[in-house]
Amino acid sequence: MIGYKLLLILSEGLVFGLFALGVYVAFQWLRFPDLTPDGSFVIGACFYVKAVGLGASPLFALLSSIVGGVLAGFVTAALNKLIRIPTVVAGLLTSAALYSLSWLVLGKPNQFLDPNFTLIGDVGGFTGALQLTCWLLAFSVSAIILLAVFGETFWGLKARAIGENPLLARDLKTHETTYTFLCLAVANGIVALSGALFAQRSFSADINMGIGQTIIGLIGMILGLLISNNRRKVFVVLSAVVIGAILHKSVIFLTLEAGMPAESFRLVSALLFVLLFFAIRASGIEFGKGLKWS
Amino acid sequence: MVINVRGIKKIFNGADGEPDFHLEIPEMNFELGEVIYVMGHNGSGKSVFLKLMAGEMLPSNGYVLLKVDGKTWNANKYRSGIVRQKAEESLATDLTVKENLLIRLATTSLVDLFFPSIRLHSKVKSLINSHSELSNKLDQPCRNLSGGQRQTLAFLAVASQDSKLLFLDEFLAATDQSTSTLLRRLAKEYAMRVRACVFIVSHDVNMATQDADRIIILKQGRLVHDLRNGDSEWNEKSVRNLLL
Repeated sequence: MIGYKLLLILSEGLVFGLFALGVYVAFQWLRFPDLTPDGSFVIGACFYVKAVGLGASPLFALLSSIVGGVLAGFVTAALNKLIRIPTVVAGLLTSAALYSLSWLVLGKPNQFLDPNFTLIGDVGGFTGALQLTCWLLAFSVSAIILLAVFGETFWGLKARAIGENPLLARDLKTHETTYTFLCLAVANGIVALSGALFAQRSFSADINMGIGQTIIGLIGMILGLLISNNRRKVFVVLSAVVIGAILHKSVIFLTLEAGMPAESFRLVSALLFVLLFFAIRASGIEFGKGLKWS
Repeated sequence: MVINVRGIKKIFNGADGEPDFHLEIPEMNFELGEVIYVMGHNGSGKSVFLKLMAGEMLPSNGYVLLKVDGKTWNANKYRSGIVRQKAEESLATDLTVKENLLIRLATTSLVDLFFPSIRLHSKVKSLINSHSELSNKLDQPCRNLSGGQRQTLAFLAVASQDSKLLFLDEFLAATDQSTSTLLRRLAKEYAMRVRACVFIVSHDVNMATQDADRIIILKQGRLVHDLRNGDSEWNEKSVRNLLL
């Protein structure tokens, strides 16, 4: 029983680990306070449910989710860079639009996902949880490796440099806009993947499932930054972010087990966020420095 | 191999739409390999002049042409190097010293693009070898560097791109004696090695008369003096008088 519960926490943590990775790319690499994840998380789940409903294989459906997220990232980037809508508003706007778009895709506010259409098929109980966790672990590890490699390539280095200091774009003979599109696409692609994987656990897609999730991703990210304690290696930081998300989910689980009413999980998260903010201020780790607001 | 300024003019309008400040530079030529000091009081138009030359700002009238290697460029199409007063503006402080140099290096193959840290390591080393303080901190993020180290790194990073036009905008304002001596030497060497025009905005007359090949003095948006090394007025005292 304990083992089963641990697996459940681990799998939920891994889903939000991916989410936190997406948030990390937007916030720490691009320094873009992106609120699109609230919407791209949902669109990921909806695309998945719709795609398998239309007869696609689960892996292909996941791919379609990622494409959905990438497009959402493009929209936010275009709103901000081409129409000059401030970053936070651009993200809010996209996620508001995605709310309706998800509804349109599903055709109704929520849709049950037949367990046969998940990655592991109709396997319940401990075996099912174990298989799903293995899949999630595989996705998380691949995402970490891909992002770590990308972050050290020429493009990754440029993206991180320009994200922090847009003045460099001119010196590097490129445009900030290009890298805004690139990073937001990567970030929201990962978030949409996590949305699709979330649907595997909840066996449904719901247009309301995204509300406030960006904060959950941020908590995972901040915990990760605290764990990584200013280490330089991209690989280490990314792994720490995933571990941070798992820790966060464990804390929520423990507080609920300890007797807090189940409805209070967001409240616990919010309090945790405030606590973590003090911790990160005290530790001298740079978070949110130079975030772009316009 | 010259830089040809074709009578540029830049007008800034005040709040009521009337012209507030305008910079007017007559036709001028600059030879490559020259170190030019741009001097003048605050508000005399030095920074605007630099921005027009660097193509960061377009003139209201006239244009700046660069004739480099048999090709003619409009200034705003050419990538010139700029080191500003704040070194951080040329650096990404979250990236390491090495990464800040890497991103500016030219890549020759796809492998370079994927694994720059390994492939271009020797190039970075050769850029930074003679600066032991920096080469010891190769894998430290730039925010751990001191002000002087940052300014040196910013200069080295910009200089690594070998642009024929280099602008140094009061870049020694926050450096100590030894760093500023080093950077002055590097700037002169750069002009010789790359055969580049190095424009330096500075208020230090002593430095200008020692280092420059040419000093141009601006006053209220006008070019008032254009001195060359060897002119009868080329000494600290006269330049100081001309600046008044």
